[in-house]
This record gives sequence, structure tokens and C-alpha cells, in this order.
Amino acid sequence: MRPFVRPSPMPGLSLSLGITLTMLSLVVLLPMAALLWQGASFGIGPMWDVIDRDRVWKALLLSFRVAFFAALFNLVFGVLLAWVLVRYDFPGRRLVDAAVDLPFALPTAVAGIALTALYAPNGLFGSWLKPYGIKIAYTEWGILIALIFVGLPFVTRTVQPVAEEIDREVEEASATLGASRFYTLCRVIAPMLAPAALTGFALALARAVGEYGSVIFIAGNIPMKTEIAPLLIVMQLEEFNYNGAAAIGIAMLAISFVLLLAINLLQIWSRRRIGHV
Amino acid sequence: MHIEIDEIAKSFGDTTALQPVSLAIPSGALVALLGPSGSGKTTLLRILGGLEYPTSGRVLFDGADSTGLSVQQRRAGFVFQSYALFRHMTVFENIAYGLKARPRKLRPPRAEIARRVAKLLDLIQLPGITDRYPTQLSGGQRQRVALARALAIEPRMLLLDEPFGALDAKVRKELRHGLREIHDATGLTTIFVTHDQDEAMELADLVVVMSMGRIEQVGRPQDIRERPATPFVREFITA
Ligand SMILES: Nc1ncnc2c1ncn2[C@@H]1O[C@H](COP(=O)(O)OP(=O)(O)OP(=O)(O)O)[C@@H](O)[C@H]1O
Ligand SMILES: [Mg+2]
Repeated sequence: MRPFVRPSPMPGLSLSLGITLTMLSLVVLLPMAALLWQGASFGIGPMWDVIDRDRVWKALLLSFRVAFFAALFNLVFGVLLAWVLVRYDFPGRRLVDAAVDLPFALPTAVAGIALTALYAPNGLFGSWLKPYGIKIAYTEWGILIALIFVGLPFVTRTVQPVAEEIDREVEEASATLGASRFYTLCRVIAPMLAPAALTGFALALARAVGEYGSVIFIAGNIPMKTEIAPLLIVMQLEEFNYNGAAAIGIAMLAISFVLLLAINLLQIWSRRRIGHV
Repeated sequence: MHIEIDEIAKSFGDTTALQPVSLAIPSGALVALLGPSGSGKTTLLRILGGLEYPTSGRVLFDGADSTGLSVQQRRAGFVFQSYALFRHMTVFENIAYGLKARPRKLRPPRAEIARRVAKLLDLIQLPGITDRYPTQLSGGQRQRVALARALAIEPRMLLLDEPFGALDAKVRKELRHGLREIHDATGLTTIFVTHDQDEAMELADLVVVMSMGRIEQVGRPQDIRERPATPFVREFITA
């Protein structure tokens, strides 16, 4: 049988593994265990009754659907932004590079209020769009924009270092072999960036699913329409209904876990494809 | 293919990499660009391959002005010093890359591609490594795969930047003969960059000695050894 911890030339493996696992349990596993414990003491049946309501299903579906599309948007534009920042020198590049982190630093409520002010029917962008019958704030589109905003840095920042590592000669080699710019992009650059891009996608998705602060301002929170699942949890908590909050929380946890697992498998597959790096 | 370099100059901002240089390379020759570091060898090779555009001057292939031709149109087999293999592709996929990248009308059918890759692997004497990834190869094997990849597109010329630079002395010797054999078998006009004078003298038909962006002397190895044209050449080849 293979030993659980394989011998490694690096010293201190068991010590560092021990510290890591302890920290992980304290910070991550313990709160989750508490959540599951709350749910277990409530009971599967009653929990299901909380979840199996139209309003909850609609909220869950909304949360995951919009989070997915926001992460997808961030995947495409985050990779593009990372590529442009790494490969092109233009005036203001450093400024843009620094600005990418702003969504991390800004309190999400500030972002939400700012976006709402811009996209509300009487706001700067909102008033332009109004004559065309386009409404952003207080619709799903508003939620999408808020989630794109908070998730963008994840993809860009995970892809950037990998893009920097790509040797320009590899692209030149592709060109000397007769490949067009587009073919090079699809067959050489994209596969090399794929694992990092997927990591960024997973992070952006996870962040978007759990995002609360920025969304509640722009969403309008109309039940069955623009009400996100985290808001339902907060509402249960405000009514001191901890069991109800735990039930919805566990539902989100379960769906997120399945999604992240799927992304991880995809990543293993794409990493295997770029060979032994 | 006959290559003519007509008063080519190149500067990068303030640094002059090449003074205006002229050179005619007869079809089928094996030419060494020899010179110390920073003398402009790589720059000249990249201009021929279309990876860099000259500041002034013209490049003629078989008498036709080709200065404005894009990299893709030049069909120059280029071997980089770092080899620049695609590490997410197997040896087979690396070598087949140039054929698969062709527009649909010019792309050979699958079986034909496989046949050509097999033939090239025989030529570089590495059959049976088709499914390996570049990181699973030794330095010398990588160099030969890079060469096979460049040959796969049926290039009009072969350009190699310090092809043996990163290898140990024994492998260098072996691969030198390998390059000579491949040159003789394909008859391609071949230009390689080196700063090793033994390598240039032993391998090349024609040696181009460069220094500080200028061509100091062009000639057959024995001419250069016996009649160095400038003090620089004398010093460089006896060093
Ligand atoms: N992309 C570039 N930008 C600015 N300067 C450059 C660039 N490429 C080359 N140079 C300069 O041009 C000159 C010639 O460089 P080149 O790479 O052609 O030399 P080389 O003969 O190949 O040297 P080595 O043997 O070290 O590879 C050098 O002074 C170099 O600094
Ligand atoms: Mg060089």
C-alpha cells in the first residue's frame, strides 16, 4: 500500500502539514461544521420544507444563474485584460493595473450604492438608457453588473502571472510555422492560460454566489424577481429563525460544493493537457 | 533559395544593432553568422525570418524584393535558441503544428500529416518519441524536435539561432554532424548563428564574421583562417 504521506526531500513536511490542517480546521471547517450541526439538529424534513418553497427556489436559481453569467463574463474580459496589461504598453497602463484591485479594496456597499446611483432611472447611465426602455438598476441586469464588478480582479490577477511567463518566442515560433495570429491565440496561448483562467473563474463564481453587500442596493430585492439567496438568509436571521437561515445556507453550500468540484475536475483535465509542467 | 541582403540597417531606439550591411548567400549554402555577443547576429537572422523589420534596406529572395513579406508568408524554418517548443503539445503535435495551421484548402489530410511527421522523426533519428511532451526530453532531443518542426512546413530556408548553444560539448559535436546531414539531404539554404569559431569553421561552407553591427569578412573557412581581412577577424579566430 502507498503510504499516506509520501517521503519527500523537503524537510518539515509533517510539521507544515499539521499547522496547515489545524489552521484550516479552525478557520474554515469549524464554521461549516457549525452550520451543518445547526441543520442536523433541525432535521432533514423540516429543512427541506424551508427550502422547498417557490420564493427560495427562485432566489437560489437567481443567485447561481446570475453569478454564473457574471463569472463567465469575467472569465472572458478578465483574461483579455490580463493579456493586454502584460503584453501591451500604453499610456496609463500602470494606473489601470492598479485599478484592477479596487473592487477588492472598496467596501462592497459603497460599490453597490455607486452602481445604483449610476444605473438608477434618474442616474447618469440610467437616464441615457431610459428612453430606449432599458432598465438596469432593480432588475437582474443590475445584479449582473454588481457581480461582474466584484469578481473581475479574480480572473485578471490569477491569469496575469501565467501570461507573463509565456515566452514571446513561443508565439514567434507559431508565426514562423505559418500560423495566423488567431490560430496562435486559440492553439498556443489559450491552452497555456486555461488552468489559471479556470481558477480565476472558480474564485469569481464563488465570490459572486456569496456576494451580498453590493447586490442588495442595486437589486431592488423584489420577492420572486430580484431577491438573492443570501438576502433570504439575512431575512431569516433578522427574524431570529436560525434554523431557516441554516437550511438555505446548507442548500447554497451543497450547490457551490458541486460546482467547485466540477470546475476542479475540469482544471485537472486541462492541466494534464498542458503536460508535465 | 538565393538570399540577398541589400544595405540592411536596424536600430532599436538609440542603439544601433546593425549598420547598413550587404551580403549575398548562394542557393543551398550552409552559412555561419559568427561574432561576439551583441554584434547583431540574432538581429540579422530575425530580419531574414520576418520577425523584425529593418529600419532601412531590402531583403531579396531569389531576386524578388521580400522586405515587406510577413513572417507567415516567408516560410522560413526558424529554430530558436530556447527551442520554443509548445510544452502543452506532444512531440507529434509540435511537429505537425505547421501543417495543421494551414488554411483548410492547403492542409494535407491526416494520414499524410502522420506520414510526414514519421519521416521527419526518422530524419532526426528519434523515432518512437511521438507521444512525449517536451519536458520529457533531453536538451539535445528538444533541439532536434525543434528542427523537425521547422522542417515540417517545407521551408524555403532554414534559420537557426545558436542551435547548439545550450548543450554540452559531446552532444554539440553529434548534432553538428546531424545538421550537416540534414542540410545535405534537404539542400536548403541554411543560416546558423554561433559565437563558437570552431563550430563555424568546421560546419559552414561560408562564414560571415560580424562585429558591432558590421560584417567584417565573408569567406570560406580556410580563406578566413589564412587571410583575415581585418585585425578584429585575426584576433577573433585565434582567440
Ligand atoms: N529588442 C531589442 N531592443 C533593444 N535593443 C536590442 C533588441 N534586440 C537587440 N538589441 C541590441 O542590438 C544589439 C545586437 O543584438 P543581437 O541580439 O543581434 O546580438 P547577438 O550578436 O545575437 O548577440 P548574442 O551572441 O549575445 O546573442 C545589441 O546591442 C542589443 O542590445
Ligand atoms: Mg543572439
